[in-house]
Amino acid sequence: MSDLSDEELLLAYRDGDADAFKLLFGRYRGPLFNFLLRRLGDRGRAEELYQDSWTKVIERCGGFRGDSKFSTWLYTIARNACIDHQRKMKFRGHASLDQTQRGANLPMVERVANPGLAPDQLASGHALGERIRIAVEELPEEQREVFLLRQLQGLGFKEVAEVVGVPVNTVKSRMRYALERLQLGLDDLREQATKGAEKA
Amino acid sequence: MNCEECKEQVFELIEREAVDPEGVRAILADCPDCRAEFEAMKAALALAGELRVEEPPADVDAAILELADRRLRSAVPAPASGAVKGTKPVPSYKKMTRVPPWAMAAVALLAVGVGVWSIPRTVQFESDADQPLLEAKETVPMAEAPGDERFAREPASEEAAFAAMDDIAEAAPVGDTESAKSAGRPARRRAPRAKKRRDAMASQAASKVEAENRAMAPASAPTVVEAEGVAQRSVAGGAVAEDAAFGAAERADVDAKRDEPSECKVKVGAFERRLRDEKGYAPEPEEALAIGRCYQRLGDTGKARTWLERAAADPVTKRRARKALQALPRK
Repeated sequence: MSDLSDEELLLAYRDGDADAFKLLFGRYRGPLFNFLLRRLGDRGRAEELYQDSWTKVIERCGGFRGDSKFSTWLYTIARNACIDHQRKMKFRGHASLDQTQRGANLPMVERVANPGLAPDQLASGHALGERIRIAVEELPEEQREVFLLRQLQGLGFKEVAEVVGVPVNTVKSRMRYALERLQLGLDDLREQATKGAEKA
Repeated sequence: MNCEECKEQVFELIEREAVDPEGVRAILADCPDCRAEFEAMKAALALAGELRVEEPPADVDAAILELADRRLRSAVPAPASGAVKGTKPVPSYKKMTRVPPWAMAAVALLAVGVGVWSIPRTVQFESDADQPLLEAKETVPMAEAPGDERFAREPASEEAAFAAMDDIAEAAPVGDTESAKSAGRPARRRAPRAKKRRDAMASQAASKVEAENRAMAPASAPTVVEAEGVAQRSVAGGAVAEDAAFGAAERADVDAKRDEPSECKVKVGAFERRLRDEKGYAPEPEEALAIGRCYQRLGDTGKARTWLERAAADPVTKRRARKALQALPRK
């Protein structure tokens, strides 16, 4: 069964095969959760929308026509859930000081201006990952979602364009701008990496 | 290709989607700036690959799998979004709004169509295939109808004016909006009400005339001409007399339709006497129509056709005469 395509697995689940869904779920649970997490920058919200997205997949699998790929359909559902959530948040007024904000796991009251990471911290893999995470979360939203879908989820430009609802060339431009921004934001890391490589 | 174009294409080259990969590679080999741009882009992508991947919570995963199993176990469709944490069922009015918009539009259109179709149409216009449009239009102008004094004069009252216009509207063919417009009102809508009003006026005038007839000349049933004369005598001239005459003529016309054969015999007898006695006597179109109908009633098809055809030659009685002619057996 593992060699079946996503679409075939979904159809098998629709016809009553519970294992097909488990397999499909196993393929996409990590990528979907990380997409939501990086897009929203809030773990709690990401968990909520992750669950909502899968619930919608279960509910609507009967209506899946197979016109598009399962991955495109899944990420479209997730993206729409994000947009709905952000729209709701817009009308909720100001954030609480106890609420965690994007790019920080600490409450707002405990946050201070980012002093940057010490070189020894940078040396560790954890710190590097954290720095990249912050750089990604600081990307403009439209660039970030394209970057995440392309880079983390491995979707083709055409699929990304379908999910986001813009032309393929726009997706490519956004991706290039995102990389240029990351490049600027992570310039010091790149220099260190280059120096390390030269020393080696 | 220049350096600018090369830098534009660096990203596409990495993504293996460059339009001119050979051209970009040639520039990269020669230009250190472009090469640095290329390396920087590659490094950024490599760093992005270092982004830490996080695991979703196990309890949420378990809840999702449980929901998927539950959906398969029950024939009932899965609950709405967020049901794992407990949400309300979808209200029925929301389900109704899920009906495709095209279906709702089709239903609305159907409802409007049925509504319009079911508006009662009481007036059935004759098919005027044999009646040219131009001919019908000629009947329209009130003052231009030759030899018809009723239309040549100004109507005395609004009611009389309406009655006159209704007659014109009735004479106009279906779809002849020009004539309807020139009459001041749409023919289709006004005709049924106007006909009722005209009938009522005719019956009033006729009853008045009848009463006077009884008083003045009760010996024989009044002919149309007599009715007109009586009406004109009864009211001292002018448009009111005209109304009465018109009403009487109409009434006589209606009566002729309902006349018993015996009454018809009397009328025909009087008419034939008059025709014999008065030289150069030519009956008015209304009278010709009434007499034609009487002959029809008595079964004298030849004479009936003669007088009805004469009545059909006049624009005012044309429609009614044609109708009567249609009822005659074919030659």
